[in-house]
Amino acid sequence: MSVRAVLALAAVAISMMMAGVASATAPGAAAPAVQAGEAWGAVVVAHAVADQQQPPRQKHPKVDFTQTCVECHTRRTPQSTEAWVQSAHSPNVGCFICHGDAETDFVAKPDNTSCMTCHAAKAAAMERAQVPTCFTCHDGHRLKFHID
Amino acid sequence: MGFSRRDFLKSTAATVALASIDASYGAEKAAALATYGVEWHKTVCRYCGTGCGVMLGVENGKPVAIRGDSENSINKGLMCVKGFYLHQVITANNRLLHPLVRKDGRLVQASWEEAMSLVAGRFREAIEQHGPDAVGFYGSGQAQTEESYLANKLFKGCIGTNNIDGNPRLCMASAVAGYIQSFGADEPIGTYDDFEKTDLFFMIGTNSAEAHPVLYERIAARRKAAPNTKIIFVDPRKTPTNAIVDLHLQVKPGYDLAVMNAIAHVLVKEDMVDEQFIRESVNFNDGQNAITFDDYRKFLEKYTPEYAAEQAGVNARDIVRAARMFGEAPTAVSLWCMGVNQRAAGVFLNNLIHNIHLLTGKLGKPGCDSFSLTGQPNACGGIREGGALSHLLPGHRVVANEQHRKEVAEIWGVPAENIKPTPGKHTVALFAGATSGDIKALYVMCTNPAHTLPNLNKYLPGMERTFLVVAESFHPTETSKLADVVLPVAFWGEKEGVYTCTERRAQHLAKALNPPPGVRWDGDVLIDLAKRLGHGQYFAHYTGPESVWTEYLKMTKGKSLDFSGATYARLRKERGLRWPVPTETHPGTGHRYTSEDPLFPADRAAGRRMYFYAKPDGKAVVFARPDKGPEEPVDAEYPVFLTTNRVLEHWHTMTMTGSIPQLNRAAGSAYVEINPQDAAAWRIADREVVRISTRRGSLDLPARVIDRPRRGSICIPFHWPDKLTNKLVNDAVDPVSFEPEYKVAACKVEKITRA
Repeated sequence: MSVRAVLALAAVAISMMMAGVASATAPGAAAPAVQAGEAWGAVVVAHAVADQQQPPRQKHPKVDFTQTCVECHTRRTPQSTEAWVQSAHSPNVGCFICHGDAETDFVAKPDNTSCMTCHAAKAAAMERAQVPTCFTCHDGHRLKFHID
Repeated sequence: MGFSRRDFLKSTAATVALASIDASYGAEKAAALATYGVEWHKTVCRYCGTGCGVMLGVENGKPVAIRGDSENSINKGLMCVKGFYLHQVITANNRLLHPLVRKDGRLVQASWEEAMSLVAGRFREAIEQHGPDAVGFYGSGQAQTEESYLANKLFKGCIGTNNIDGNPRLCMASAVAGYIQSFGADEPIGTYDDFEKTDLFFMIGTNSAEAHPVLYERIAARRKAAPNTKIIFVDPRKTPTNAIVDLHLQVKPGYDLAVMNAIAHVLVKEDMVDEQFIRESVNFNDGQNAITFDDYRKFLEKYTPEYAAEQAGVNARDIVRAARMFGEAPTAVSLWCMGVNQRAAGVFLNNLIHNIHLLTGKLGKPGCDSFSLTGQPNACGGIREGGALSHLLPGHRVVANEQHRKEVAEIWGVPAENIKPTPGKHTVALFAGATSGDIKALYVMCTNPAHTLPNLNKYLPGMERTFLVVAESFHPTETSKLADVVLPVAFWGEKEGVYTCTERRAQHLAKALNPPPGVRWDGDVLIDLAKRLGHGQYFAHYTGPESVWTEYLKMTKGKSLDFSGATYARLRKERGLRWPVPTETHPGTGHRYTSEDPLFPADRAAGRRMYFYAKPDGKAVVFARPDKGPEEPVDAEYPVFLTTNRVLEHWHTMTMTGSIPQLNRAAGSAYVEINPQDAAAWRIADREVVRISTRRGSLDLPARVIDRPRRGSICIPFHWPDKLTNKLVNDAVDPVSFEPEYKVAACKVEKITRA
C-alpha cells in the first residue's frame, strides 16, 4: 500500500470519527473501559491494514496430527523452527498462535491479527513508519527488527 | 459469530488510538466504537495467579475478541497462549445451560426450582438428622471473592459448620503457614516491581516459563536489561525455564531441604549475613523454643555442602556457588510454587527459603523479596484473605480466636455462637469424610476435585456416596459426572467481582456479558440456598457483588490486609490496588513492614528498617528446620521417583483450555517424560506405551523420551481427564498446612508386552 493510499484512508477515518455517531453502549450495560494506547494515528493503520487482502486460508498437508507442530517442523522446516526457538516468542507464543491449529484453522502467511492481541499499543509506531504490517520490518520467525 | 480476524484488527487498533485522545474527544470515541460495534471491557485473566490485565471485546452481546491490557503494569499488554483464547471459552460447547438432577442413575435436565428444592431438602435433612458438621462446602481459588464470602457466611455463620475448605489447600496452604510462621502474617512482603530491580532470582520448584509465562517474560526482560542479573534454579527437572538459568541444582525429588540449610550454612560460615538486620529484626527458633543465633549456627554445622550434596544428589561446589551468588548479590528475589508447596515438608521448606532472606537482610527493599507464586487467580483474595478455609475467618482471622469470631459475627449480623471455635475438616479430611459417611451432603463450587485430589481411587467412592452438588459452568467434568445435582453458573465475563493476585493486588472483573438464559451467578445461587435453609434474613440486604464487597471491606479495616480504600468505584477505574490500602486516596503498598507500609508502627519500630508488626516483638523468625526426605522414598519395589507437572498450553483440569483446538494441537494428549539414559537402560523407545504404577494405582502412557527429568525420576503432566495422574500420587499431607505431597512419590515403570 502506498503512502498516498494510507493518507487517503486517514482522511476517511478521521471524518468518520468526527461524525459523532452515538455511543454503541446500551443503556444500563456495563460501561466499556477503553484502553489507552500510544497515538491517534493508529486508526490510520487500522484501516490501511484491514483493507488489505485477507491472508489466504490454505490446507495444511495431512500429517500425523498426534505430533505437535514443533516435533514435525524441527525436521521439515528446521531453519524456521530454530529461528523461533531463538526468538523472544519462544516458548510462550507457539506456532498455532499465528498459523492456527492446522486442522480447523490454518494460515500459511499470517497477518497482524495475532500480533495485536499483545502489541496493540505498537500500532502507532507502524503508522509513523508508514508500513502496512508488522512483518514488513520483523522477520516472521526470528522476529528481530530487520535492521538489527 | 461474524467477527473476523480483520474486524478484530480494525477494532483493536482503533480503540487503542482513541484511548489516547483526551476527554474532550468523547464523541469521537463513541463514534469509533459504534463504527466497529465492539465494546472493550477492562478485566483480569481467568487463569493463573499472575493477574494479567486483559480487555474483553464484546459485539452485540457476544464475546468476540481479547487482548492484553497495555495499561496494566503486571503484563503491559502481554498474554500467554492460554489467555489468548479465553474469550472463546465463554461460548465453548461444554458450557452447561440448565440444571441437571440425577434420576435412576443418570443426570437429566431439571428446572432450577426442582434442583434447588432437592439441594435444600437434602442439606436440611442431613443437618437435622446428623448435625451441621454432616454437611460441607468445597470452594475454589477461581471463585470471585464475593462468592467465597457468601459461602463462608452461609456455612460458618449460619449453618454453623467449619467444614468449608477450598482447593487452595492443595496448592498454597504451605506458603500461607510459612509466611505466618516466619513473618507473622500471610502473603508476600514485596511485589512484582522487585523483579525489575533485583540482581538475582532464586527460583525453586517453579517452572515459570510454562506455569507463569508472563512473569517469566518479566524475569527474562530483567536479565536482558541488566545482564549481570543471575538466576539460580533448584528443581528435579530441566524445564523450559532453564533457557534463562545460570546455575541449575537438579536435586533428587524431595531432598532439597538439606540444600537450603547448606546454603544457610555457607552464608553464615562465610559471614555473608546482615548482622544489624538480624540483631534488630530476627529471632531464632527450633520449632518448639526460642534459640540463639549461636544455637542456630550449631544446628547448621551438620548441613555442610558435602552433606547436602550427598542427600540431594548434586555437586557440593554448586551449592557453595549458589550460596555465594545469593550472599554477594546486593539484592535477591526468591520465587517458588508447587514444587515447594505440594510437599509433606512444604511448610519447613517455605521457612528455609525465608531463612536465607532474613539472614542476609534481603527483604523489604527494592529488588528483594521471598515471594511465593500462586497458581489460581483468586486463591489469595477469596480464600486466604477471605478466610474460606476450615480454620480461617475473613480478614486474616481464625475460628479459634473468640474475639475474631465476635468481630466477624457482628459484620455478618449473625449470633457469635453460630461460629464454632474448632477448625473444620481440611480438604483431604473433607473428602475422607465423604468416603466414611460422616459428610452426608457436599457442595462443590467452581472446582473439579474428582480430577485434582491426590490418591483419587481412595476418594472417588466418597464423592459417589455423598449427596454431591456441583455448581459449575462446564459439563461434563470428572466431578460433575459424579454429582447428584449440577447447577449451571455464570462464567468469567458474565459476572462482576474482584480477584486478588499473587502480589496482593485486588482487581475488578467487569460484567461484560449477560449469562446465557437459565444460567445464574454463584452468589445468587448461594443466597437462594440460604433462604431455603431458613437463613434468608442474613442475606436480604445484598443487592449484588458490589454490596458483598463493600461489606467485606469492613472485615479488612485495620487488619494487615486493609482494603478499606479499594472500593468498587475505584477498582473499576484503576488497574488494581495492592493492600494495605487503608483510604480511598492511598495508592497501595510496595513493601510491607517498612516505612512505606501505612500500618508500620514507627514509634515501636524505633529506627529499625523493618518491623514485623504481626509478631509480638516485631521480629521475624529464622527456623532451624531439619531436613526431611519424601514421605514415600523409592525402594526395591518402587525404584523410580514420580513427579508431576503442568504444560504451557493447558490449565489445571482442562475444563477451559481443553475446548481450544489450537491449544490441543500444541499439547494434545498425556505422556510420561523419561530421561534418555533411563529409557536406554529400560529399553523403552520414544512413544512406546509404558505402565506407571505406584502403591495407589497404574496408568498406561506413551513415553516421551526427553532430557528433562533427572535420571531415576519420571514426570507426568496432570491435565488430561482420560489419564488421571492423580490416581498415582501420594495423599500424605504436611502436618501443619495439610497440603498433600503431590510432587514426590515412588513408582515403577514397566514395558507393556502386547499379545
